[in-house]
Formats: sequence, C-alpha cells, structure tokens
Amino acid sequence: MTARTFVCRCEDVTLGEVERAIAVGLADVEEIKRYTGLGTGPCQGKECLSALGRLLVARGLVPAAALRPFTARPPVEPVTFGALAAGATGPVAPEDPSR
Amino acid sequence: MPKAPLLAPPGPPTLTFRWDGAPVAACPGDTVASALIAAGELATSRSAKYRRLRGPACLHGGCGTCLVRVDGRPNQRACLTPVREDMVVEPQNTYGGLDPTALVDQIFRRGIDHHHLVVYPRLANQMMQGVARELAGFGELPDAPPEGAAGLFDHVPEVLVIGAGRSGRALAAALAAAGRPPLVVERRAAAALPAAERPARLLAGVGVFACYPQERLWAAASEHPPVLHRLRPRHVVLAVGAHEPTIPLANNDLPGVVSARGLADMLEQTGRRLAARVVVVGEGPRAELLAAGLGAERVAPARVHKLLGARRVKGVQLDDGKILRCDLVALAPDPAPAFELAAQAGAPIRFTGAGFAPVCDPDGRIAAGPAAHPLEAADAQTAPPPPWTLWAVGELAGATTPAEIQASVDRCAAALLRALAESPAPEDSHARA
Repeated sequence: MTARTFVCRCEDVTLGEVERAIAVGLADVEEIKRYTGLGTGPCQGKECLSALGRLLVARGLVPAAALRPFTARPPVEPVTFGALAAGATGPVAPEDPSR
Repeated sequence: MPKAPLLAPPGPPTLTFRWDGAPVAACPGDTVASALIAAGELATSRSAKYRRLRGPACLHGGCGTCLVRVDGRPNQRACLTPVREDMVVEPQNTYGGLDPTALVDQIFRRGIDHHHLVVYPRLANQMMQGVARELAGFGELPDAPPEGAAGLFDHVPEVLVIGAGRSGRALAAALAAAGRPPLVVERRAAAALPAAERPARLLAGVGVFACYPQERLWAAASEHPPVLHRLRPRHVVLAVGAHEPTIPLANNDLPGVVSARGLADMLEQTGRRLAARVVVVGEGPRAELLAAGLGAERVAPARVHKLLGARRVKGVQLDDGKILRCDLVALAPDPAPAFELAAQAGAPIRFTGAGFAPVCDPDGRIAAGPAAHPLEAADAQTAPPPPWTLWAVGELAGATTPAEIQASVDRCAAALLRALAESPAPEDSHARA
C-alpha cells in the first residue's frame, strides 16, 4: 500500500493534493475546498477543516484573524428524508410526555 | 480467521450479533464499534477515491468512516449504535476481503489529479465515468421503506441544552438544582450516559441537525424510531464539545488509528479495558493526560516518520528509524470546537489557533455579531433577531481540562439563572419551571 498522508479521509484528500492546490496559488479554506473536495464528505469538515486552517496559518498564507470556515450548512447530524418530511405536514403534537 | 481481542470485556459477553456474516460476541453497553474493535475487527469500509480500508476512527459520531449497514438500514454510525442481540451488521462499499478496487491505490501511486485525469481521449473518459459512477455513493438503499410516517413533536422549553457530555450534564444538573430543569437533547442512546447523571428531561438518541434562525426554530431527529423534533427555546446552551481533527501523518488513515479522546470515552462508557498495545501521538498537557489514562506510550507528531501496516495499523516508525509496535494508534490533537450549530444560529466565528469557535463572553453568552458577509447583513436588517439567547459551555467555550470545563459550567449556570430571574417566561411559553 502506498504511504499517503490524509488531511480529509472522507474524500481521500492527501497533504500532497493540498500542496498542489497551494502551489497553483490557492490560499483560502473555501478555494481549497472547491479545488480538492476537502470537507465535502459525510463528516462535512469535522475532521479536516481545522487541520487545513492550522496548515494555512502555519505557512503564513492567511492571518489567523482573517481565516474563515466554510459554511456549516444543515444537516450537521444525519437526518432521514422521512423525518424531514414530517416537518412539512402533520398535526402539531404536544410536548412528548413520555420523556 | 479469529483475531486477537483488543479490548477486554467488563464481564462475560451475553450478546451475539453478526458482522459480515460471522458471529461477534458483545456485552450490554457495547456499541457496534466497541464490540468490533474489541474483536480485532478494525475495518468497516473502503474509501471513496483510493479504495483504502477504513474503520471507526473518531469513536464520537463525527468522522463518517464507521458507517455500516444495520438490519438493512445503510449509513448507521457503528460508534453510536448500541448492540442488540441478533442484529445483522454489514460493511459498506467493500466487496469482501479481496477487493479488486483496492488496486486503485497501487495504480495511482502519485495521487489522483481528478481535474485532468483521463479527460482525453473522450472514449476512455466515457468508460472511466461509468466506472466512477458505480464506485460513488454510500451503501445501498434500505431493504424496506420505513413503516408509516415519521412522528413529529414540538417543544417550547425555557432552556434547551444541546449535548449531554460532561459539560451538558453538569449544566443541566446545576439548573435542575435551582428548580429550572432544562430539556437536554443528546445524540447518543440514554444507556451511553452514566445512570446517576442522566438529566431528568432528556431526549436521547436524538441529534440536533440544524438551527433555522429565520424560521425561529432548532430541528432534531432520530432515525429509529423516525421522529422529527421542532424546538423553540428561550435559551439555547450549546454543550456540543469539540471535534478531534486529524493529525497529518503518513498512513494516518489505517484501520486502528483512532482518536485518543474517543477511545478513552469508549472505555469509560462500555466498561471495557485495553488488551492492546496503544501508542498515543500528540503533544501538550491534554495529550499527556490522555496517554496516562490509557497507560500508553506517547510520541510527539513531529517525531513520527510514518504509521506502519497494510490492512490495519501495526506500529509507529519514528524519524530516527525506531519502531514502536502497537495494535492501535490513538491521536491526541488539540481539539477543534464544534462550531457548526453556533454558526448556523448566526454567532460570530473566529479562528482560535486550534479551530473555529463562536465568540462568547466569560459566562459563555454568545453575542449576536456583525454579519460576516454583506448578503447576511442585508438579511439581518430585515429579519427580526432570533427569540433566544445563545450560550456556549465547556469545550465549545474554550475549556479543555475537566477543571476548566467545570468552571465554564459554573459561570454559565449562574449567568443563565440570573437571566431567567430577570425575564420571566412569557405567557405563550409552555415551559415547565
């Protein structure tokens, strides 16, 4: 097996691929996400976003105060279409008394 | 082929479930992930691009590589799924032990540049698109559609606490002691929480997946049973803790490379003990504490040349050539606060050096900040401010040690109780004091 250093395991983005993105002139979390796919897998950046941020700051590519995360859109936890659909219709039940 | 157990059980195993067709013994309190790791079964999936073996890693519901098929339902997190007798658990995106797609890793030794790979000739491009489409996706559709429609519950709590980890439980206890028990929502099953510390008003096995400020609600759901919860609280305490980001090391994706924090919590939750050799990779007081708790040797990331192993981690090779043999590598990075829900709620977000976090005062109160983007600013001028006060406690508020977490909880509870005393519940609130 080839030795690889992963920054994002969900989308198999290696440190080498991030280096390649930096080499073509990208230096922003959002740009590198769009170029490499980093942060677009099932974990949605929980594992890779801060690792990338630290790398960009350590290299002096972005000042820490200017670093922005990519947008944390819903859902941050898995949700089924069935559960989402329940919010569109159906009567409003009282607060669940069983809990 | 039986594998050497890595975690000793707290008592005789009394449960059996099926993993990839074979029986695996488990104990009450086990999750699928703890039982599989205990049995030495470390790989649960193959990765999207290089088709490398992956397994449970964060042990905390965050990372997405322990997704398995459970009783015909895809994409269940093994680390959050309690073991039940006779459950059928299967790996996803794998094709048995000898996976021909694993050749991808060997063929593309210099990496896959997907921007330019096989763009020409076009005929080859078409063929490759066909293969890539077959490889893409997660799991397969459920065996059967869900029985009936999902349930729907509305809640109007005075205080909503999101997360029943250390800080969430402690905060709920402090408010309950003052006669204001909050509603606590926790994505883990109730059995995963210490019985004596379970909050009185608890929605367990329910994940808060979104804040929709313009709809003025927070949304949470469980899959089994399928239920949607709409929450309209007056105060929201985010006790969501932190993520464990990866540490960039060669072969940091091998099955058996786990989060040190996740492993420590898993042992505490299941009562299992380590029967494996563990090396902790990390530096600083938190990594030292975790290594001491696990009884493991610790090395600084800068000393690591690479992690060794093919189908699972076998050791750590240091820069001086020395090799530390082990069965598990536990990564102990500086934690990155779980800022996502705060960001959705409109909190100002800053980079702390370790990760992103909402800006809050010493009590944990999150001020509505200036919008980061002109479009958001335009929204903010037309939309009324959200009807809740937002708070952060524990690791989200920057605490890392147990003492700091407790201090953060104490300050937040005192300030929150003052706020509740100053502004009594409005008429339309259904909150029970």
